[in-house]
Amino acid sequence: MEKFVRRRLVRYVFAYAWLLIISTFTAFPFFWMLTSSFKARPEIFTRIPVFFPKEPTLANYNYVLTETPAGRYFLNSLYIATVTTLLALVLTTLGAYALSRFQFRMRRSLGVWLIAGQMFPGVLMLIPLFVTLTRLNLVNTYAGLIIVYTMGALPFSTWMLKGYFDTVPRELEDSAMIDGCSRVGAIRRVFLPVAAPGIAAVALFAFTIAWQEFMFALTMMKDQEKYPLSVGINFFVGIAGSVVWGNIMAMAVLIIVPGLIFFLFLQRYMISGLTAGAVKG
Amino acid sequence: MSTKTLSVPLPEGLERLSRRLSNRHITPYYYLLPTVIPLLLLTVYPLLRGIYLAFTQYNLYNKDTTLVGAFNFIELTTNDTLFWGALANNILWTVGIVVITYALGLFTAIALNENMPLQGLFRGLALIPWVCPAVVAALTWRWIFDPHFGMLNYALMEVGLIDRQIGWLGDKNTALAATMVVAIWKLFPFSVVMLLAGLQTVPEELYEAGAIDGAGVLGRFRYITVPLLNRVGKIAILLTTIWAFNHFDSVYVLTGGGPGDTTMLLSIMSYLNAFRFFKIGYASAVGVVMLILLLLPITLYTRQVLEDVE
Repeated sequence: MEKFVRRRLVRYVFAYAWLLIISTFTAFPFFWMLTSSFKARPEIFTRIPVFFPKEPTLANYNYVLTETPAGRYFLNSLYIATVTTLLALVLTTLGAYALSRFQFRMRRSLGVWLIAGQMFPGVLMLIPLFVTLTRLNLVNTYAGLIIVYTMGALPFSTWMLKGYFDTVPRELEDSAMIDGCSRVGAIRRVFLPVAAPGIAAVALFAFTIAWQEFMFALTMMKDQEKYPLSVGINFFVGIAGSVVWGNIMAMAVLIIVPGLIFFLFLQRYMISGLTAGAVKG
Repeated sequence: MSTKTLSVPLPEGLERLSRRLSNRHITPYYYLLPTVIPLLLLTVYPLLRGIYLAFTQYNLYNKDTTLVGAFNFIELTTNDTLFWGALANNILWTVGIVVITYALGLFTAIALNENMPLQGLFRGLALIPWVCPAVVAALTWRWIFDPHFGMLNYALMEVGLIDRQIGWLGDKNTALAATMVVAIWKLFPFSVVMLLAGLQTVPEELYEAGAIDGAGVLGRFRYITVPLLNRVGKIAILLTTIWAFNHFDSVYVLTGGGPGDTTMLLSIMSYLNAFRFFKIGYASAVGVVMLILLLLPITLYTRQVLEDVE
């Protein structure tokens, strides 16, 4: 017994040591971003790095929010990501429901396409989409980006949601329909409330895609005032000459905070959603 | 349903059509259309169109869509000084990232699977790179890698591992490795999630039974953990391969393919050809090469996922 306990202790020591190393690797850039956003210039351009600012200042945030269009970029991103999320929710819920509940021809091919659809090289999709959207006058518009992002979220979301819907017992709607509900009514009153966590995961996924995307936005948005945050921050680095890291880090914090809040609240859903298709049971 | 509410009887043809439209076999398609139509327009069409463009000399000025056969591909493989280097970089970069990501992910998942205090905190910490957009990750790391004011040089000099400042992203010998670090940072939380989910399906009793039968820690790892992780591990490896191979954002921001094309990847090469030199057809050809190289992992992945469902 004593031997067993000692062995477990050794295992714990190794596990903690490893987790400490890994957490340093993953968390350090966040720590650095956050503390640096409160540093004044002299504490940034120094050979011996300052870990905690001695005189924390809000000057970076103040500058970024008043002297640069960061606030505008933020609203652009918020608008694009919100509309994308809503669109993706409607489209994927319907499709996933059909995939989960009905038998129909091409069911399998559709599944294959949903799984494979998001694996193709981004540039290969970007080029023809850019050509087509140019012809439709949708380049340099929010609508153009929203369309592209909805497409990006659609295949995987539908597949993920189908996996979740499969776990909701079919008898739920059946009994509601026997009690006189139409199918749409049964879906709305009985099915959707039960399936809500899966739908929340899809919403999170779609929002994250739209919030983080860079390549399409970089290509499609020409006017500075239409940039989303990802392109905005990169643009700002480009024009700043010698990079003013304090300002950039303040901007970086603005980008990350919404995602971080989402993540803290919805971590569980996101993880179960992502692994739903991969892990049985 | 509409036939009942109408007082005037419908003409024979419409009547039949209406009956057919409310037929049970049609119902699924009402639900599917909103998903399938955008899917066709926005993924199937661009893919086919992109492949088509690869066989043309299309650029943003001439808009010439005449087919020129394999001209772009021949040009690419025989006349382009960048192509073979970019291909080699892409393969090296992908293999390196997949191997390291998997190893880090596996160790971390095993450590997180121990039932000990503070696990929630550590799990959160291991996963946060996920919420960081690639652009932001790249910019922050660019500063950490900075030769003069960067954290990395300072730390390494303090512990005495290096004796002069290294420009990690500007030096041809280190640039590719430095960009890989950033990609690994961003990608490995996914491996952790997958492998941890896989580990959690392994029943504790199996390990106890193994221990009773005399298997040591390594034996149990080799004969219980590894085989049971096989499926999830395969999915994690295939997805990481595909993502790493297609990667664009962080390298574009970190180095843009430089210095001296040492971090030139196929996606960057394609992008620059399309949107800096406006050679759309040629850029599409690079994309098609990427697609061909990815066909095997994509097929394996799709088959694996479908197999799990059925």
